[in-house]
Amino acid sequence: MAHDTHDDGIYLKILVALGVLTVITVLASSKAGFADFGTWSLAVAMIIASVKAGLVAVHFMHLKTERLDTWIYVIFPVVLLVLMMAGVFIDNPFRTGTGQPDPGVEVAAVEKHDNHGHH
Amino acid sequence: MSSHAAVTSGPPEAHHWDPQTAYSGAKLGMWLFLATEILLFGVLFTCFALYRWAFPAEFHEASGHLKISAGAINTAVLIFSSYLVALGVGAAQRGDNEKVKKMTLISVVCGLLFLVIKSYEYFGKFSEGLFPATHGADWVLYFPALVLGVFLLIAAALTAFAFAAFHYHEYSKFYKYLGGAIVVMVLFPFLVSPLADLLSSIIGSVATLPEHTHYAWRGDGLTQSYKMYFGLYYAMTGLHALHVILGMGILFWVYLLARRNRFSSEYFTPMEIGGLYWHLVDLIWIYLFPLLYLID
Repeated sequence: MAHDTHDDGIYLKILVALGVLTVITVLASSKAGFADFGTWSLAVAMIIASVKAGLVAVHFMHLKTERLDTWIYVIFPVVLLVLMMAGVFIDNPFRTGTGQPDPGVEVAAVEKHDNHGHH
Repeated sequence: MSSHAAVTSGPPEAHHWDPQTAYSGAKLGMWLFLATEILLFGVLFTCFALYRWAFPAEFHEASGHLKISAGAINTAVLIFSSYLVALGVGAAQRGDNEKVKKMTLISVVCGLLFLVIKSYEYFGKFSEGLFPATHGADWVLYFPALVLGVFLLIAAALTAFAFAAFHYHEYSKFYKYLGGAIVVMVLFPFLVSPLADLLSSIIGSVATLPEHTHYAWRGDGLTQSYKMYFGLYYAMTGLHALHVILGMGILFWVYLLARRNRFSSEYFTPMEIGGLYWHLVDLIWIYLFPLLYLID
């Protein structure tokens, strides 16, 4: 059986990289207080998480040496997920009439308004 | 697969006897399973994002109850065990059963440590009175999540059929299932609200629902949505913890195989696909940690 012997040295580098990225993601969160990206903190955290996930998938899970059909198995659900999330996040801001409060509108105010509507 | 040509006689399933085909089949099967896992957790992430959008203030305050240190330590534990498992796969490919035993056993201990820290966190929250749901009214809030789950199951099934068709080179079926999965995923955001309303009106006609019979993402101010945060927190981390437990079982099975010196450069499939599963457990936590602990 032909297969690749994977280099143990690269695993150690990946481990260190994952550790460093974990420290960065903690420091970059507004809760730790070292750097506050405000409204972008979600995006920053998700980008760092995706880099970490990519390192794990490509190196630890050997995607690097996998054939095309395995890559399709990986990319397909990710594409589906992006489609679904895009649909949800595009649709969500227009949902004010069906229970979702307007961004910026007080939850209590929406409640009150609805209660008046029912009585 | 060049090995297909090697087996030309015997019954139709004869090519399954070829070790190279069995190996790549098992590995692709595991990747297929991991694909459905990505969708499963992806829907929970989407659900979390929706409620966070609806209740930014409450989610900010609720997430303040979590200890960043506990989450960070657990991240380190899982990343380290992932590293050990990666070394274990390399060792199995060289037929180094001793090293496989060591790596899998330490990884199982890492999984145990993760669960201990997680339970410590859970019991801390319980003592603050933060349960998944405390009042009878709360479960109405879960209707959208229930609809989400049904859509997920349909999409996951279609995805699985599409993969299977692709694997057997039945491309017309592949396109059909692929199209079906995409249609379901695109339609679902527009159907989730009306279907959740329909569900609550059906259940409301046979049972007495609490005051808020509309499933209502709005809840009643702080307390309801506060519980929504912890409902999602327990659902996501609980499901992940189940995966940790299952992964520990798989790694322990691999350890038992290594004890019987089963691995060689000719045969290392269980270590490799068991390792894939363990890496996914790590991968999901990589997203859960910032989402639940760090973002406000």
